[in-house]
Amino acid sequence: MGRFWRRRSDEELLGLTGRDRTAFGVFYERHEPALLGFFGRATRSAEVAADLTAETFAAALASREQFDPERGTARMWLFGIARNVLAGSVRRGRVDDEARRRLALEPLVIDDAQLVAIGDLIEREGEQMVAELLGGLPEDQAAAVRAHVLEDRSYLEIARELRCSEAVVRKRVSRGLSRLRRRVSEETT
Amino acid sequence: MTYLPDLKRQLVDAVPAAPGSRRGSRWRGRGRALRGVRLVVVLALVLALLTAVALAASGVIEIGSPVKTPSYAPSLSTPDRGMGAVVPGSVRLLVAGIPDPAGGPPWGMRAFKTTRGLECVQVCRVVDGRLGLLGQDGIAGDDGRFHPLPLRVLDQWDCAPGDARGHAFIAITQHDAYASGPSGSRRCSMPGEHDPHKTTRCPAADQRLLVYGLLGPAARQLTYRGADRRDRAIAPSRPDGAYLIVLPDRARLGGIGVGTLPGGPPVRSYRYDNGLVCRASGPRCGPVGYVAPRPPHVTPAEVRAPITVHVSHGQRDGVAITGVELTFAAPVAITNAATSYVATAQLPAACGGTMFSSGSTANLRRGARVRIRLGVPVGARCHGRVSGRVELQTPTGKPSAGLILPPTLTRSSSLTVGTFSVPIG
Repeated sequence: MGRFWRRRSDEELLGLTGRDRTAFGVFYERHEPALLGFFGRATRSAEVAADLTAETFAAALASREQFDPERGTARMWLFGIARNVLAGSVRRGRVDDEARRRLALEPLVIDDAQLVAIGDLIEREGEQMVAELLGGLPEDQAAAVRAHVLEDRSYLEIARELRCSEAVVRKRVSRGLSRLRRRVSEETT
Repeated sequence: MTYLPDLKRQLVDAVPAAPGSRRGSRWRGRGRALRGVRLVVVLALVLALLTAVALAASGVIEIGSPVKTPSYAPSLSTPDRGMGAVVPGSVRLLVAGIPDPAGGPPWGMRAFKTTRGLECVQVCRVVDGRLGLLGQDGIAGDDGRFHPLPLRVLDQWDCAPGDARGHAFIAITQHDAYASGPSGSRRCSMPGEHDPHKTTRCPAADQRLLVYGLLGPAARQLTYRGADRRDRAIAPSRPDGAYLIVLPDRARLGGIGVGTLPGGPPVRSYRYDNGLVCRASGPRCGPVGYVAPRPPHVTPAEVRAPITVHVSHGQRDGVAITGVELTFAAPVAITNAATSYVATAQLPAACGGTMFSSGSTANLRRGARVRIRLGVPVGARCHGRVSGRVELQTPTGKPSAGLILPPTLTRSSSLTVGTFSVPIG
């Protein structure tokens, strides 16, 4: 990727796509890992994540003229499409392929090595997301949520370690999860 | 670095075709100029392609006479009998451009539908969009020409009944093919073949392993182990899920495996749109997208009909034959090759207790007179009663697993029309 393209914003890349197809390739490379991670977390499947990513980018390419910079960033617009693709696929019980068919794209062929790489990416993205989310909680709540939800330890066990009552641990986990729910909800609407 | 470079390439290639690419006034003039350049490139490619086609048709490969139709081939001309007639406009090339390990014209697969609800596939070499055999490996006197393949040159296992939506599921692994193309009529002997009239053996280096079939409309990807022992992934063509793999056949055993789904090497796995991955050597899995045909709405009582039995005696090729002819009025109409009346008879225990069966092979209206003839070879000392039953067999449920021969592709449901028992000898 040349320096010219690296310096272009997402919004500029979308605007330049009609003039030079390289622009959309750069836009694709910039957001592919995040979309794969997003779908991987939602579906727990590298293959389905790859399919959903393909459909999202195809839909973005087909509707790029509808992108309006005044309504938000290109990344927000792309993830809006991603959420619609995911919701539509869940509703129909299969991965949408309408946009790919409109663009006459061939079915995606993924080999085992690619699946492993995507699986690793999803895991990394997942760990990073967890770290970011827990980082936004007060320390005592983050510790309680990590111990109970991620490490699957009992309230009693955590209470003994933290030298507090079991009721306190329950309250910290409950408050921590409520706060996380609010944050995730705000980010995805 | 991208995780899905093929997707990126396809998206970038699709940019000119994407809605909106003609918009954007600032770049319109330049866009036209670029399109002009692209048009010149496209025209050059078309010219090059036409030149290649002309060379293939007239110079490089000479076209010979069509392949002779063997005596056992289906007629494909009677719409309501046997395999039926070819449905006009249904012949299509599903897969093309599969290279042969030794080069030459590529391989391809075509399919067509018949009026009795069958889907048939043929695999051969492709020249100028036509399927045919090459004059080598004991074909056409090894004349080196390309011999177009008529639709009738096919075996029973190349056809299978479609499901409720007309999609067929076929998986064939053929070991007795050669670089010329698959054929049961070659002048050289194949592995395991002991024909005294064939004095030369077919060249072992030309033996090919053909793996092909129809995985259905929901098939997304098939992975197989190539000749270099590396796994490769291919995308079956839509909407049939058609795939074709051509490899040098190192096993050189001959034989053919027929089923509804790939059942082992070289196929490793296949994947569907819904993410389901099936291991070819694993437990039964799929087919996704199969819609079971609706069986006729009849009760067992409605299928019952009186059967008239007539016994005759004769000889065929010096062997005593007892003919058991069954006639009855069809209680249910027959409209396709997957549904039929089947008669099964069992010889007396003193004669070995062998089972024989035969069935109707044509469409029938309800009430039409059905005649099924069972030829039972019996010796002079065979006495007793032949007993049996007539059943209406209709496809239902899931396709059968394992190696089976179409048109009994799907598990059949049987309703008894009647039973019989007659003395012989």
